[in-house]
Amino acid sequence: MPNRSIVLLVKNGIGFGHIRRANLIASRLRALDPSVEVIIVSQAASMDAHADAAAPVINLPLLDRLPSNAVERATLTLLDHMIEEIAPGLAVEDTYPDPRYQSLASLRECRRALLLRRIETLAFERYRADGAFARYDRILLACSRADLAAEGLTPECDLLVELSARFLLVGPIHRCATAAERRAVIDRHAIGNEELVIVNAGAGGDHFDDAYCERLFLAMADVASRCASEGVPARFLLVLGPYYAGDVPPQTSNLATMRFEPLLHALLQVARVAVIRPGHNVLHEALSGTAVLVLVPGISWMEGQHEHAKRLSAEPGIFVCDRVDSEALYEITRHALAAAPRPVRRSNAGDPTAAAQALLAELDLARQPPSTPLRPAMFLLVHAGPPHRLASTWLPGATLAGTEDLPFLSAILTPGYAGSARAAYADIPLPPALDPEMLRARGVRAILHLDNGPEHDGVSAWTQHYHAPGCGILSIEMYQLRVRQGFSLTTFTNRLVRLLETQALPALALDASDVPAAQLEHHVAAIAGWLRDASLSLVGVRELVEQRVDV
Amino acid sequence: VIDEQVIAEVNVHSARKDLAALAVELVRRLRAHEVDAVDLSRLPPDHRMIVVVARRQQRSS
Repeated sequence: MPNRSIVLLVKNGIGFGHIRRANLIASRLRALDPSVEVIIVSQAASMDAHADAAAPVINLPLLDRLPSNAVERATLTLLDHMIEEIAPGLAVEDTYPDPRYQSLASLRECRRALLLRRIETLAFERYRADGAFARYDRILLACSRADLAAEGLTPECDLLVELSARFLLVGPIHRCATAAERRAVIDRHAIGNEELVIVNAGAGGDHFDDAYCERLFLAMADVASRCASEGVPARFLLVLGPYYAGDVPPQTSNLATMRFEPLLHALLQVARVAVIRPGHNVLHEALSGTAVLVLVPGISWMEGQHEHAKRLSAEPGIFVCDRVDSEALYEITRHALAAAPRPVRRSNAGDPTAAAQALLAELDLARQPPSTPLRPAMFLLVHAGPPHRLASTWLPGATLAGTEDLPFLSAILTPGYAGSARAAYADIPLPPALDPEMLRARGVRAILHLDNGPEHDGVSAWTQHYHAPGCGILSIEMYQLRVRQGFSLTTFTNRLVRLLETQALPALALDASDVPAAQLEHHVAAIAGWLRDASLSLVGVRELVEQRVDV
Repeated sequence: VIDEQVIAEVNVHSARKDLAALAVELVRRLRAHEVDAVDLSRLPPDHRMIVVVARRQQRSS
């Protein structure tokens, strides 16, 4: 049995955000369950990020940039042996899956989770299309529902997040300053009555070769100089970050620089104005305070900073400067200094508790066999005509078409429909002019349809025409088995065995709408008895949709 | 703030068989809280892998 150990595997190129998140989660995991061992594996160029680590750390070089294959193999072999010795029950990666972590022999049978902070819409879609999510037992989305909705996902990703049980929203995770931390930075930086402007670009690394950080800090030094000459009572503190490699602006009467501030989150929260590159972690730390924000987006890896900054600028007290240019920054900084303090963003608590609880639940799953033995399962739909012709007790677990769980599509398209089902049974061919948005507006996310007959032809043409998953509608085909002359229990079982040979969760539709009630009762009783004896589980619409939407 | 100590210099071309024992020792030290971190990120321009163990000073004081 694996240990009660969790390894948090972090891949971090230029920033500290992933490590901060790992530390916050490690700390909360230990608080929730002191018996759990947590070990952080990172790829940080500076150990500064681990100054307040809440767990033992194994720090690797950035694995993408090793000088030779021999160094890479030796590093990964040593890591593999260490993880073998740790024998974790759960491995958690953060945001960027690393193929080297994926291929470690010591983690092959380990339960896996991905903690995914915000990435831009198309990057999310690329993960889905490339099958990146398939490697994980659970994907924790570290954002609020509102932020996820504002960001927007492709319809396919939207379906996945909404319908798959593997995706969980755990809220944003970042540090929020305590009163003591705020007091500490106020004392340390002698913050008094003057307006404090903090300038920061995370850990100071550049995503690409555009010297963003140097341009930002030198431009803000110009802004400070101009403010000094014009008598603006503001003090500028440039927190360069340990990865900063550009020229350092000289200290002046109203400008100071520092390489690293372990309480940067507190500093951002006591500042009057924060001029920042809106990388994920620093942005959320700054959003937790009341400082007026000047967001200076840069080209980034999967973060879509320009679009995100533009969205955020709809909130009061958030300005965007699209150019790293001293003239533009001067104007916006002056506006920011004149603006009222920003209201606190309540959805931005940064609390890691939900994520830690979810990971502890995963760890439990890694150490316990399933509570019920694994049995073959199927989805069985019975179309018996009017619902009163078949009492659900005759076939426990089967789904009846036309009921609350699975209403007829014809009913959903009726004006005034007020149901809330997520799935519909296509009892009619889908009208070619039917807009998928209309279905989504009525709550429908999945259409179950037969694999044969006129309804199938109509649904098939419609789903192909609109590329239904691309419109946020999942199409699930069911094998149609007609109850008619010559039908017997063997007809049913033979077909079912064939389906089980090729599908993990077959969906079979028993179309009994044309048989007399007495015959229907006879067949259904026979099938129910056989299913009971065969220990075959029947799953409902929700489980079928969850399984089919997953990757 | 952090005490660091180089505890091994491994020739990556010849040390494969030694790494398992080294790994066991490193995990033992982490679990025993003798050290807070194992740092492998030093990359000299030759064939060595530098293994550093680190300990925060406040813990030792």
